Amino acid sequence: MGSSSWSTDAYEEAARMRRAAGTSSFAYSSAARASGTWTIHPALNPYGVKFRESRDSETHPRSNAISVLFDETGSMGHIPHVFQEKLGDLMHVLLNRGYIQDPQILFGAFGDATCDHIALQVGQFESGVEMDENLRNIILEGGGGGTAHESYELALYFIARHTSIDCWEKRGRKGYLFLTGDEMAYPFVQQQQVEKHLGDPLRENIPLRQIITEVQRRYHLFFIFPRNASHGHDERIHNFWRDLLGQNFLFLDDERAVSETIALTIGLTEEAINLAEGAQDLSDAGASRDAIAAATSALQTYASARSVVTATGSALPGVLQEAPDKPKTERL
Amino acid sequence: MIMHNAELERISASLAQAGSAEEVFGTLVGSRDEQLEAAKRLFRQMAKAVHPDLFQERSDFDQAGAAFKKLVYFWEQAQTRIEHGTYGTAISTEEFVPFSMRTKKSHYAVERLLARGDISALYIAASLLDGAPIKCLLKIPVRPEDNDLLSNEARILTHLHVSQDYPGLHHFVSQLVDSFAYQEQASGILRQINILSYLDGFYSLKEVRQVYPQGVDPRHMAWIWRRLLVALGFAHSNNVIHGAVLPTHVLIHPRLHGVILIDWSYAVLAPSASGESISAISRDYRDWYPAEVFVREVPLPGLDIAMAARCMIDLLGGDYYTRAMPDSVPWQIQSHLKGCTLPNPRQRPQDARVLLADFDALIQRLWGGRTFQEFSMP
Repeated sequence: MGSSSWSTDAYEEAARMRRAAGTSSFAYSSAARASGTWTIHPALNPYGVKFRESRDSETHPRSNAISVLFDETGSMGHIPHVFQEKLGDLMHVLLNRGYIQDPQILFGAFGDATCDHIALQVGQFESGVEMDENLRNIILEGGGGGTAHESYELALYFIARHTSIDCWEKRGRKGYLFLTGDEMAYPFVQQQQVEKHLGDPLRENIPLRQIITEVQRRYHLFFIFPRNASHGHDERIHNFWRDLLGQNFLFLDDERAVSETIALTIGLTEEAINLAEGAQDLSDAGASRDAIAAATSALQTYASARSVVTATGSALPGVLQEAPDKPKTERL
Repeated sequence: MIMHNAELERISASLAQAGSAEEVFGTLVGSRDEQLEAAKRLFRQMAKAVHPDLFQERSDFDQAGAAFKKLVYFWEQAQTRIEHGTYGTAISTEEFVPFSMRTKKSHYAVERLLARGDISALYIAASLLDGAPIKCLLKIPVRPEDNDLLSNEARILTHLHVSQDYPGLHHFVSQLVDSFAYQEQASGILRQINILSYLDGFYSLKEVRQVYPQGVDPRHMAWIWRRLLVALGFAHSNNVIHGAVLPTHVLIHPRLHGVILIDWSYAVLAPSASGESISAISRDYRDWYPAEVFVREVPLPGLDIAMAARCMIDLLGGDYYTRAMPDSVPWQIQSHLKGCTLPNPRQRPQDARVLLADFDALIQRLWGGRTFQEFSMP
């Protein structure tokens, strides 16, 4: 996946054709809602998927995997609709600003696997217009169980065990995972849910912390918390995520600034920019003053606490270039 | 005179082509001393033929000077490689081009490749620490995918470093000097590099066993075991489980009776609270790991104790797997080690400090007061 190239032309062409056909931008979700048949779009169905892959290609020789999964349950109110619309901007924000080379973006959404029809929807890592289609085909079921918990852990499990990313495997660079929502995760990845929704036989439940550690091995993991959601001011939930992720727990004051916030976070982590430069970039790109303020305030703590010490230089000696046929370490 | 000249031609030509000491001194066999002796003989023979003193006021004086300089360079290289046991191994025959790295903290001039471990290539580098020159060890992961293991080692060693008992016990564990991510400009590859204090004169238990195929005297195993338990007691009392106590990760200094537990890449921190479990193992030592590791149980201190005891069984000339030991090993020591390696993790001893006290009592009964046992490695 991730072979086609993103161009604004292609996006505009697709949008023009949709308008001509009289379909709304989010036809699939609307149709599902209207008909009451909750069938996951085939391109987003995680069941039986071995890997969603982010691969290098001739046109994207230095791919970097970025995944964004959001909570689409009722407590999020109108926010998932805003995300569905605004996340379409993420690719060009990243490309225009040059924060990261060859981004490949995977979008997905999750609900509450204990009671929703659709627990998890995950697209592919894409470099082109397909990702926008994935985003539009996400069904916003708007369910949830009213327990202040949603199935974040199932989304984490999928990313940990069912993605394969060249940026890490070939270059030791972590991918990005942004989870966004306003509730807590369940304490375990449930064996039966994994079997039901993904088709994996699992020997036992996996503790939340363990699956987070697994994700963090290969991904920079961030939690974005929209303040305007129902639980936006619930400190118990803030503390839950802060305890798990520390400085990587970010508030989002204005959900319309979601793409800017994600882009800035990536720019800061890649050390492409500092916070002031990021704000200037956003302003140059025509982002509203409010969107900039929201995005930079979200990242204040992260920017000051982060310390990635990196040295850059020439290629290291030959012994490091030829990896042994069989790694001497085995991952359990 | 003409003969000398031809000899100089021949030797300078071969030195000019040589990329490593091995190409100059060829295959060397026997113990380190024997290898050193053989190489020294060759060095002397060649030095006699090309020494610049012989060519004073002659046209080939400069040629002789250059050849002699090269010869000395390779002779020094041969000595270090023989001392480190890397002479003639594949890694040392690769041509090495010195390189250097600058971080926010310091500058590292990498001098040579020392060895290749499970995960990393190990280089010796010169640096400055608080203004004083130091020798240090650069640990660079061969596969960028193993960056997480290096980060983990840095995390664990930093945690141990700030512990209260670190000042008194730091010499039982690897000492982290620096840790950073290095990006290769051209390829975009990122490697997590750890810089550790260089340890001179140490041998791994694997090397000890190679030199003593029949096993070492139980009295030697005793001093190693006691110190290994101190290292483990230090880690465990700071909530760290090492997770890979293997013959390659236990280093000893024969003369000083030093013991250092190295390679903390596989360790876990506060596992009962964090839910961390051992997530990677050393493939060559797969069957040295107790069964609970493979089902990803929350690791207990007894995991390290069991693996350490297996190292001792091996060191005594026993079979780490069946736990059978030579008859020459006193039965009390045999039972002590077997008690540490019981299959059920909950039946094993969990407190290295208590275990050390038990062991001291045991050897007191067995041998009387402790005396210093001279140990040597060839």
